[in-house]
Amino acid sequence: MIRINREQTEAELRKFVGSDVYVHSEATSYVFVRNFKVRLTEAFVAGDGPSYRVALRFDGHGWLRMEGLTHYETDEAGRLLLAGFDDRGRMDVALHLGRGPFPE
Amino acid sequence: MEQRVLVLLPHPDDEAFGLSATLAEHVRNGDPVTYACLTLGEMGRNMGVPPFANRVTLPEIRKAELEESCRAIGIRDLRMLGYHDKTIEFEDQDKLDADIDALLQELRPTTVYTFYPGYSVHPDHDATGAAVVRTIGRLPRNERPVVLCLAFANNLEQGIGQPDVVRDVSANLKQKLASIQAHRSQFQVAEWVSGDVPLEKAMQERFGTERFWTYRFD
Repeated sequence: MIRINREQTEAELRKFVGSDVYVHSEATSYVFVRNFKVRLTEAFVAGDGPSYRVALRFDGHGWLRMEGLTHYETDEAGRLLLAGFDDRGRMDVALHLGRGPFPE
Repeated sequence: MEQRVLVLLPHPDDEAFGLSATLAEHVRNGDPVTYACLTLGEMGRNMGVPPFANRVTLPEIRKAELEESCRAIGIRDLRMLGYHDKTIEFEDQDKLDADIDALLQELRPTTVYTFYPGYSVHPDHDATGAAVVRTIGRLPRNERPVVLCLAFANNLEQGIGQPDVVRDVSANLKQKLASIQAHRSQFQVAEWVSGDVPLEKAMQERFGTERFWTYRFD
């Protein structure tokens, strides 16, 4: 994964706007949700780094907002994988978007 | 001279520590005070100790707390703008600015209180302050109200220096305490009073001064 660049990462996120996306969202130790499907209407990356806030608006009535994201990559399946790592390299949060479901 | 006061802050309770006593002083002077609160603090973590709220009931509870705080201060014109907590920075800027501009046109304030953009820690604080100065900045120079900002970032000194408006608010600590206590889901006043220090003395030391930075548009 590479360090988030606000503009580039936001541009990657916005490629999913207007489509149905499957979302995996996770705060390690506390919660994850896998494969909820939404139609994305807006996507934002905010912050001055090294950790960023990401917000998604979907279906005309929903928000997903996460803090603490530091890294991202687009994988070979075209899925956008964002994650937040602490200074010891442990993952705190994850936010993944795909056009198809992630394996159950 | 009468001042017309407009307060623009994102969360119920943002008024309590930073400027409730200053607002009480405005009320005492007969200045009309309008408080526009952008959200209901729906995403707050504190639910009372022991918890008496939950994620579903918190907005209504915080709304009632906000109304009680305003009564304690003497504010009679409270507007709740209906934005959602933690989303101000992602909101449509044109919509946000239009809401603020409508208040400016209606109320013609001489003094506006908000957060100093970039120096107020929470993204909602910074985004609210940014929208306020952006909108006021579009007014002709001679129509702009004075903008007094709260700020509490770590990098204040090198960024915006010392506060240029420092008010001794001892005379209005009663209202300030009542404002803080109104937000009972958020603050446990009892925890600040250690053993033998009376509440009044503790209040005076911690909250007897309110500080503002005048926003410079040029």
